[in-house]
Amino acid sequence: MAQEPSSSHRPPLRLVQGSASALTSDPPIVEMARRLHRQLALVQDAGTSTRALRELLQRAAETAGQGGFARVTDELGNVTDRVERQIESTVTAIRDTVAALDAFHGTVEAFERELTSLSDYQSAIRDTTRQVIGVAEQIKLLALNARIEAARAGQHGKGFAVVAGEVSALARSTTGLVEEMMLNMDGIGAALERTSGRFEESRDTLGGARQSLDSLHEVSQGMASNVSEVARVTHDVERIAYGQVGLQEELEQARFFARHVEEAAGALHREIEAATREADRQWLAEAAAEGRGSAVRCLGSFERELAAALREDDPARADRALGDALALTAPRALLDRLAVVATQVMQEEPGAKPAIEHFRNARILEAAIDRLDAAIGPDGQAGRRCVVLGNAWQDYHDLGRRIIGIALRAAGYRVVDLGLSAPNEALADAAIREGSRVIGVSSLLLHTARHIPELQEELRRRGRSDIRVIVGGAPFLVDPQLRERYGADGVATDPGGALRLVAAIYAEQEGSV
Amino acid sequence: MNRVERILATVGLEATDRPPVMPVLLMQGARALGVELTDYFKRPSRLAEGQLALVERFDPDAVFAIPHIVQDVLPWGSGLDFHPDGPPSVNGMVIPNKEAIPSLKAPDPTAHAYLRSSLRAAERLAREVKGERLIVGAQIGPFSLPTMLMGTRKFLELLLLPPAERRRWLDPLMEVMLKATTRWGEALFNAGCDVVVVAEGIASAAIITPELFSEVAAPVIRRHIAAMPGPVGFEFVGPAMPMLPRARDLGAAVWLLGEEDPVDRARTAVGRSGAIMGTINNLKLLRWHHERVEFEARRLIDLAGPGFILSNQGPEVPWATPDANIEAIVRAAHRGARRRAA
Repeated sequence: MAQEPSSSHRPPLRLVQGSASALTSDPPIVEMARRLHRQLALVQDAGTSTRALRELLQRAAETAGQGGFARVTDELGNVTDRVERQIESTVTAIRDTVAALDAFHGTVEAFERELTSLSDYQSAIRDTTRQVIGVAEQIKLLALNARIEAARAGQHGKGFAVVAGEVSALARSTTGLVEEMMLNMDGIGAALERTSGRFEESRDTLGGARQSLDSLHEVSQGMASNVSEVARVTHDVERIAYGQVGLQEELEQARFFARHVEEAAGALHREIEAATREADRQWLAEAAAEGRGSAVRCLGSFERELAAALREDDPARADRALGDALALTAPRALLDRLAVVATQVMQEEPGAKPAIEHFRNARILEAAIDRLDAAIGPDGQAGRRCVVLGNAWQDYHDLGRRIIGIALRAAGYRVVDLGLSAPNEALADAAIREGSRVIGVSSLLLHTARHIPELQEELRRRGRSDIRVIVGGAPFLVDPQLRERYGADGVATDPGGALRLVAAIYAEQEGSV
Repeated sequence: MNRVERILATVGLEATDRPPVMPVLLMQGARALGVELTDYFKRPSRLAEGQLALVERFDPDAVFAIPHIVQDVLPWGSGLDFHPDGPPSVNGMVIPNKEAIPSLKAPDPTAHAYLRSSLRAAERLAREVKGERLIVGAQIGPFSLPTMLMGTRKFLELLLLPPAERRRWLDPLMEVMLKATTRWGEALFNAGCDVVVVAEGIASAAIITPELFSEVAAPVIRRHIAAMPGPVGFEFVGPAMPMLPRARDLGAAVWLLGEEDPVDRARTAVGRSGAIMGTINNLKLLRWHHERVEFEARRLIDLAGPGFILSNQGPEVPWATPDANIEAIVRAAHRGARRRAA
């Protein structure tokens, strides 16, 4: 249960939505209490639902995190790639072989054509040879006639007879040679016929081989087509797996945010409990006072004007509204209303605003807080809850830390800001000295964020592990799991988030006292 | 198609056999040489040696001709803190307030010993790998450099002044920044860089609104890119998507995306204006298994289509990233080659 607030430590009504309209329309205290109790029940339900959602998301994230689906498609993709490459090699080899066969077949056909030519030449030579034999026979006959005529010529024809004898012998010799040539030509013809027969066989064999290769090529192309289809399906499945990876990331994010919603719901629950009691007391006291109506209307007007000034980035309007309100109302009450408005505006569109938008709000709020703090005086600030802030050691990026600091001040916290490059020892010292339950560390760079676990260790060493360390900065936005790795108690992604975190920590710690 | 031809084709949005791959490896040069990171950064003379060792180790398509981008503040008189496990950080602001702006003079970056040493290293890289691998320089852009010299808060205060008052301070500040950053960009190109990445973190959607981008950032960026003597890669060092429709005509050849920018939508948003590059989450590189890294890289390649250069998100691969994860990024791009060929 939340501790009963003391008179010197009145919690601001920063988490009660719609308080401005409640103030301006002066609702009866019974109606106000009824509304608060209804909000209490709603928040309780929201807390239960969020807890269930977070557990569900955690299970879903764990299942997705195993990544089995992605691994299977990955393996399948690898196998398909290998088979594709093998089939491609096979098809290429078949194509090469077919080309070689076609070339060989062409060579065989050319040889056959040359053989036919050789056969024709052989026939022509045979005919010529026969004609040579005929000529030789005629020469022999002429030689015989010459010898007869030489015999008739007697002694005068003796020389001529010798010549006729030689011519006859030459003719016989020529006939013998030609006959031998004819025999050789017959041998060549037989050899050509045999060769031609073998080429015929080779051509048939080549044709068969070509047919087989054509069939193999068709089969390979079919296989390649099928594997391409498998690859296409795998690719489709892979796209689904890519989506699953995205889903896993989303689940991790959702789980992260659900935990914060759950924490915020718890904090809100406790705040509304306290606010219900405080509202009862405050309204009862104010109802008894004279001139309540004008002061309440003044507060309502201040809230509206300040909200408009923040949304429209109009510092002059905020300054005017504050001046008018200070003339009619106590600064402490205005600080409470400022907290309501600041919390509302800074939590609009969480995470969607660029830094400069938060910076604009922070500048307006800072001027207003400085003016109110000056009016309240140092004694009036003593009871506020404290937050210690600083950049991590050797981190020199102060924008985020300053914006968060102003948001916390606007929400009613006392901020002890140690500035740039704060040593862990100084952060721990300040938190213990100032009674802060929270240290906020800002870090833009990963290598400076690594000092955060050392701060946790420093607090443990001093026996103050109850002091919570929350973090902010780019590394924690880029990788939400970094918070767990560095052992931080929370991540503030924007000023609204920082307010929720700090409220939850204080509510938890004060509730446990 | 060699590596540089592939990158040129990608920038021209032509089909390639595989996507170019260039994880931003800066600090890893120290590890490749087996030296302390602080020593590596204190003496940029070893930059070329470190980058060449990374080429041997990981076979990326590009080398980076700067040791770290924070060196850009040195000519202004800023100091650096060196860290054993991260890039240096600026240890103080040299522009105390806006009243100091009128007396600002643009320094000559090439007159600073550290930057001269960086340039010599870039020249050596050019001698060794020019034409084989892309030589990438990088600088802080004119719109964002003031935050490193006067602090982000003071610069944002300038941006939030009423328009006439803002022009009074911002215009002379931007003129000085343009002069200095253009000089440095020219020096990087003269040293042999093929492309210079201009980092404009303050122009990102994390810091300013799209309207403010168009009004005050875009005109300065456009002038800077036009004055550069070579092609420019533009980096928002944060979410780019809300700004891309307003930025696509600024003249950049490559758009470096943030990790939260969806590559398919970014591809559509930049249209024919140039290639996109990114976007593997730097911090997840620290804890993901290499298979998951490769899977994510392939997912990005698949989503982005042509005109995509595979890399990590800006500004660079963290120091403690396992080598296996860097290899996985390169492997994913090479695997893309087989798929495209199929």
